[in-house]
Amino acid sequence: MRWREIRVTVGFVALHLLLALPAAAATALPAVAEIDGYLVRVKGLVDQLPAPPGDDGEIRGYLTGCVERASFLRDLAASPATEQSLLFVELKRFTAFRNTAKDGLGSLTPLGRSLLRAENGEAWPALGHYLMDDYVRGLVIRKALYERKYFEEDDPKQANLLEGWLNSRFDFCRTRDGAQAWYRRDGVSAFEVTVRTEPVVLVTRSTDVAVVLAGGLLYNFLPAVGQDAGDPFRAAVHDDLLSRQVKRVGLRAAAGAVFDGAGPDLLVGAGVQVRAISLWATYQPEETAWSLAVGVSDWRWLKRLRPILPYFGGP
Amino acid sequence: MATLVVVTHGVGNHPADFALAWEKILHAHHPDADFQVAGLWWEDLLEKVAEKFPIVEQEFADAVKSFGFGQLAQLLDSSTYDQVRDFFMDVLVYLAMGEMTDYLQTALALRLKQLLHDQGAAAGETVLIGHSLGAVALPHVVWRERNAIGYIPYRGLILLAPPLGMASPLPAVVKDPLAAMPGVHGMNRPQILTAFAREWAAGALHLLINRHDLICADVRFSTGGAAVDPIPVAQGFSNAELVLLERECGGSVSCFTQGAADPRQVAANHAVTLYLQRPEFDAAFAHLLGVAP
Repeated sequence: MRWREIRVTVGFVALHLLLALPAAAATALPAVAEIDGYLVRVKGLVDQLPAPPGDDGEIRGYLTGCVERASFLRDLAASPATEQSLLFVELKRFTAFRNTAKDGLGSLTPLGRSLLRAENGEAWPALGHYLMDDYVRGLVIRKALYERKYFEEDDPKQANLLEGWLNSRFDFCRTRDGAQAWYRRDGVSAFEVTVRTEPVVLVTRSTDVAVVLAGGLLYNFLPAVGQDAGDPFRAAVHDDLLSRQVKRVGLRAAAGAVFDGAGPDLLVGAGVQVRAISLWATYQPEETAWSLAVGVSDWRWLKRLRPILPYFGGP
Repeated sequence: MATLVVVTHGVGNHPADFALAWEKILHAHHPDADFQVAGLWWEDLLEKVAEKFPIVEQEFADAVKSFGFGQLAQLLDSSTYDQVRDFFMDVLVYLAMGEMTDYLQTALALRLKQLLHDQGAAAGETVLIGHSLGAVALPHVVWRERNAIGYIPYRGLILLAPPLGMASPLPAVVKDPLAAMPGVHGMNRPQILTAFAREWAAGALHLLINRHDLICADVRFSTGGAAVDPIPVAQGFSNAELVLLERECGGSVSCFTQGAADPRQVAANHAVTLYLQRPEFDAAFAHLLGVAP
């Protein structure tokens, strides 16, 4: 029976293996004797429960569940045919099972709380500490991806609180632990919403300047990130051509005011952004006129051009 | 080997060597205990996020100023705005933007692991102390670690003036500090508190609350007439939550009263120096060091 379960598990976790391999290869894993030690301790805790368990039914269920999982893990560890990566994945699944089960426990008796603390604080660390390297690796990668997405762009100081809030609201924009999708790297989404006020300069029909409130949905080309071989607390970032040169692209829509020397007129537009530069198709309803425009989501650029802009005191 | 004591600051401006002031008080009160203090500084991280996501875009304000609309830029340059930003933006950037909450927790968790590595300390020989927003971030950080490895490896945690009892009036916009714990989706406040309290060994978790500290207690100020609570949302734990903490981790909450219930004493009643010199702190700290208080 156990061997059939093992074969099923091998198939079930196959998708995870590719991701787990680099970590497992560098991580020590619990030996059979350590898992046996955990089993002996937890079985001893189960034996302390009265029979029938009465109000301690929940903690009994939790502890016996841990025994079953640990027995399975032990069989995996004892099998010479078991890949280390499979053992690593099963240890992570065991951990997730324990966390979910612990968080779901209802009220416990003093004995129940005591047994839970003994399993959690005295027995489990012998196995759980083997996941520490993977935890640090995950932190290093997650931090590096956040840095790239939010802080290492061309216009890092053009964002605002609303933009930060929106990126935390939409599921496809925000980070999700363990989520697998084509647009995610280690849970971090490549999509980003922007809502910014920006300068735009018309390039056909006139050279008028506009200020627009622009919303956009951008895609960040995120690099591959791993742990630095020499320093486990540093990230090794591997850029490809897109993540290094293009960085981000997206679609945008805007509404604002164009200053044509005779006062502000309404202007709306749709655009495409690459890095910090946007190419806009704009429309002025008052003049029923279309135009192309260029925008840079960086106000410093407009300040530099101020002396030559007619409406703002230039020639 | 000496116990490593990692201290974490809260809102406001804190230099990188902020821990020196803490260390002085700790050693003065426990001259015979064998421990060393290290600061888990994260002011730069909070500042980085606040600069990235300001209420008003700085460059936009500068551009507006250059075109003759200087009042907005003047406001942003003022000391009033600096004070507001220092205190409230720290809280806003930590709790209002889930992505930045996760970024800050991730970066702080990594700094904590590196700190232990650099100090050559084992987690089991490490005591964590957090004040104010640091007393929110530390539980989040250790919970992230617990989610990854299945247990909390640290010897103990002391939270000074923890705003964990604070209830957000708009939880859909700004999360409760408790709800910002990583991986607690679908759990309510009692469930989160219960799970968190149960993770600690007996005597390992301590929350110190000054009943006259506006940040972690529902203080009622006398303003000539009847005493009133000027803040319409709950800052402190409810009685039911205090009972829950006592049941799940006996002796973990110590409430005391120090300072006048006076709006002018808000900062003094919240000061970390006040908390570090309380007998309740001495007792908790001594217990975690394994020495007589």
